[in-house]
Formats: sequence, structure tokens, C-alpha cells
Amino acid sequence: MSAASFQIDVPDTVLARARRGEIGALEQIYRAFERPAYTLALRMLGNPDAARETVHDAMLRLLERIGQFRGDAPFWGWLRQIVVNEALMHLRRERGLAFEELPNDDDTPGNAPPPWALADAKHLERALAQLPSLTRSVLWLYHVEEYTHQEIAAMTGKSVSFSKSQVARGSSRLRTLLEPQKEAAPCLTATAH
Amino acid sequence: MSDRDGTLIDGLIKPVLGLIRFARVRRMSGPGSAIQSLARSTRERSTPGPAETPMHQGFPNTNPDRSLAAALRALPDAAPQPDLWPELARVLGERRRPQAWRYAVPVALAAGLALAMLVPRSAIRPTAPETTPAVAITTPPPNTPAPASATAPGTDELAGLHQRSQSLERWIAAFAAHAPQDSRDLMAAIEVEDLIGLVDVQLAAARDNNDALPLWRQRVALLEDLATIRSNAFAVAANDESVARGSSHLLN
Repeated sequence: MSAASFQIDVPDTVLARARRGEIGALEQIYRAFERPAYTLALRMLGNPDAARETVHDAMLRLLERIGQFRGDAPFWGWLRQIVVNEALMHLRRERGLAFEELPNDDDTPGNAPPPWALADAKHLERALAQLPSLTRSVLWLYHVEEYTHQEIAAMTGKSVSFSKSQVARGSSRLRTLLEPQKEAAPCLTATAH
Repeated sequence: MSDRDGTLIDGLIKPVLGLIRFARVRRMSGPGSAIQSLARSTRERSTPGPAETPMHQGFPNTNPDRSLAAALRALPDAAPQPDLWPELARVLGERRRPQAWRYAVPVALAAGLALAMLVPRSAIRPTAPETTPAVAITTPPPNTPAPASATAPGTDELAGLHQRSQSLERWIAAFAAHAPQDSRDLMAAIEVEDLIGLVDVQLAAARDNNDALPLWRQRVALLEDLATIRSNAFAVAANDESVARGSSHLLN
């Protein structure tokens, strides 16, 4: 699980060696976090090349400043924040954090189980990829990384209500994309990119 | 302000302000406390209860919010392909090299300056610089704006920089011909020489003194750096062995 896999405790001895600049320790840290960091970047950006670049820059920033890490907070939390910031900066560079308006899909779940509960990973990944980047990022940061709406608003430079609406509309759009009977609806491709 | 300017501000400045606000909020709540609370909340909430387990794993779920979170978390992790580490290790190695200079440069600079002062100005010929195989730098490009014009703005400074540049080149050439260099100094010297080459390319394209002046300043500064590097072997040996040990430790 992505959110949990970030929570890796780095042994003090490894951190101490990394602070001294030992390349072996730096690699150990990189290896421990490469998958969660890349997964987060990939989910936010939806592009493997952009995700690689983001992880590269984030890891470089982290490993260069590891000597300044005081150890009074979880190491993984620090790294995750760097990855999120780098990914958002990437989105900003690419699109200026442009907000693609999502239609207000009818989101009346009723009593039926939500479609993502029935969908396999491939379908869900495909539907996720069809969301606008910023919507997908907000959805991921909120649901998986468990940032609050206030934190997301501050990070993206938008309002709290923007974060809330992105989560609501993103969920609604996912529902539409995953509903078998609505797959052919024209609005499905409206926001694909 | 036009609509476009407004959009630009929205697109560029607001997110930066947002990040600053975010950093402030985190700083105000104490060092690391935001991350710690985040870690706590994540740990508390990341263990999926029965209601969070996705349907496709065999458990019913009627809370759309929680079930979406669980479904998203259940997506498989991915790894960057190809492996990022070799490139990271290379860049880290390159970027960490200058740290050694924090220790070596002040010592070497002092020695270099002392040596430079010992070289009598009269010993420096005002003719074109000698070329020796030990120095990779070249003399300034021939189409560089001439510093000799008496009326152009900045002419005096330009002439002084030109002369200083030639003197330094000659001094470096004479010094480098006899000075032993370790591999670290050689690598650093090559980097500075590359930068000087880059400045020379820009100087060749300079249209007038206004273009050329900052480039000449840069060239002289780089030559001074190179002179420092060339004198490093003597400076480190003469001053403190521990500096060399500290530098090599940082490079390991």
C-alpha cells in the first residue's frame, strides 16, 4: 500500500553514515524509498518520465541536505514532503497548475457498492489517468497521503473549498468512469489528457 | 494590469505564497511537529478497518470516501525504470566536490595571493601570453571588443581587466609548468578552464564594451580561481595536513 510503504524507519546508524556522506548509506536510503517516492510522483503527474525526473530532483535535494536533518521528525515525512513539492512544481511548470473544469457528474451513490470497490487495479489506474493532473493530485494527496484540505490548499496555492471540490468532483468523475453503463457517455473523454 | 498579468500572478505567485504559508504554518507549530502529527494520523488511519477493505478483496463497503481511499491505496507500487541511482550517485559525487573547497580555498587563496605578490610586475611581459601545454585556457578571442579605445565607456576598467587577465594567464602557465597537482585539483582546474572557455565563447559574441565588461570581470575572477587551484598543492602541504584529510574525507 502506497501510503503505508512511505512509513519506513531509517536506522540511526544509516542516517549517521549518510550525514557523513557515505555513498553506500545514501544508496540504502534511496533504495528504501525509491518505490513509494516514484509511486507518489507517478500518481500525481500521470507520466512516467515526469515522475522519474521528479524523484531524481527530490532525492538529490534530500541526499544533499541530509546533513541538516535533525531527526526530530520522521525521515519519511520529510522525504514525502519534498517529493510532493517537487511534483507540484513540475505541474506548475507544465501547466501553471491550470484547473480543468470538471462537469458536475451525478453522484448519487444509493445503496450499491461504489464502482471502485468492484474495479480491478488496471481499470482504476486507467480511470485515474483520465482525471486532470491537479484533480488527481488533490485526490491522491487527500485520500492516500492523508493531507488535510487546509494543507492541500496551502501547497497548491488554492482555497480550501477548491481542495474539497476537487476531491468531490474527482471522486464523482471516477465513479462515472468506472460505471460500466456509462462508459460510452461523451463526457468521459472531455477531460482526458 | 491586464487580465493576462492577473493570470500570470495567479499562476506563478499565488502557489509560491501558498508554499510559504504552508511552511510558516508548519514552522509555527514547532519543529517537525506537523510531520509528526501527520505521521501519527497516518499511522492511526492507515490500518484499514473492515469498512475500508476494498470490495474486490472480498469485503463489502458502503462508505464511498473510505472505500475510495482503500482502493487507491491498494493500487500497486511502481519503480522508476531505468534505475535512477547510477545517475544520482554521479551527480551527488560531482556536487559534493566543491565542499572540499570550503576548507581548501581559503588556505590556497592566501598562499596564491602571497605568491602573486612575490611575482614582480616587471617580470610579466605585456606581450601576448605564452602557451604551455599545462594550461588549457586560451587567450581571449581576437574579435573581443578592444579595451584600448579611449572614449568608450568602461574602457579603463576593461583595459585593466585585459592586462590582469594576461598577467594571470602567464603566471598560471609558469606556475603550472612546475607544480604537481593531485587528481582532485586537476579535476577542479579542468572545470574552471571549461568555464573560462565558455566565457571566451560569450566574449567572441560580445557586441560592445557594455557586453564585454561583465564577461571580462568573470574571466578574471575565474582565472584567479584557477590560480588558486594551481597553487593549492603548495598551500595544503605548507599549512595543514588535516585540511587535506578533511577534504578527502568529504569526497569519499
